[in-house]
Amino acid sequence: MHEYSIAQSMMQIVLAEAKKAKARKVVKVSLKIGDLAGIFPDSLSFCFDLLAKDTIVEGAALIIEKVPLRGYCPHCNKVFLIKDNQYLCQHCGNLNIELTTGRELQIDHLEIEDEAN
Amino acid sequence: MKQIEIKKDILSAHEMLAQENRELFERKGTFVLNLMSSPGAGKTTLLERTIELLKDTFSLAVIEGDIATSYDAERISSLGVKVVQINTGGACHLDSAMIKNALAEFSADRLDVLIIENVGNLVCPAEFNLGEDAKVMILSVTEGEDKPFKYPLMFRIARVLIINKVDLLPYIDCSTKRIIRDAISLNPDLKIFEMSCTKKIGLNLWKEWLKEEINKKKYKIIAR
Repeated sequence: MHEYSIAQSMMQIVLAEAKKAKARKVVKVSLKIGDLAGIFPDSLSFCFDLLAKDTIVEGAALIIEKVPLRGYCPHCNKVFLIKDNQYLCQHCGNLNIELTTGRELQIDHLEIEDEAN
Repeated sequence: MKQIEIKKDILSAHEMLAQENRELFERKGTFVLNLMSSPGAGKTTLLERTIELLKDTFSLAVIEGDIATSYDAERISSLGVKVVQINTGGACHLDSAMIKNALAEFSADRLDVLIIENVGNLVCPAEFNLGEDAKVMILSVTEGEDKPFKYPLMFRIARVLIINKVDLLPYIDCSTKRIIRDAISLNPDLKIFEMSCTKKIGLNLWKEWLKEEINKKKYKIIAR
């Protein structure tokens, strides 16, 4: 439901970065979205297309790479996947783990056509 | 075609404003709560009870977030507390920019406590930091015991869980044991209170916790 606000913030960054890079057109926007982030990709794409209209981003492909949820246990010094809401160390059962990945809402990179081509 | 690396958080602009809010609250010694729950879990009733518990001891104010109407703001201001209403006009959550704008209304006030009532929603508000000290989520027992695993982000980021409407437990099929077990497995540091805000059950422990946190924040500026 908050995909529209996320898409708006995303578009601001994309337009600013594209301008900095002197882009004529943005061809691809590549995102990293963590599994724990409450984002529905189809809905994000829909809002993105809507906001891209009549800008240099119109028609750009939105590529969403999902990032799995991973935890780190300071006792075992190990990183592991978290599945089925098992927020504990898979090796020693410690509950006090840190999430290392899975909450990403990140623009990873853009593909642009610049003034040279 | 050219590829450019960005590696930037989409919410970084929001995060910066949240940090500005946080610094302002630090300077003023104001303890800030962000109340979140589904619609109808009892946020506004918890707010009314909390105001009654604190208003003789502390100076407090409220920011009310709703998609539309000022019903809640009217309920709160009848208790004699300053309240600023934010109507999000459709948005499903409050963000740090809305809070920053609302804070202008309090610029002259010395506040011990600011309570922000978020828009009723268990998904979206979890993603947006406002600059608060504690995210407080309210789950009413009538919503069902399966909610922690259905909304893991909310339970993971909350500092406090209030299990509300416990007076209704004899009439429904819900185990608070399971709620607590699942919530703790998502977030072992979660502070949990079981309450009925309408029947005024379990309010004392909540009051004690609040007083301690408010004083901690308040005296931090004096100690500096």
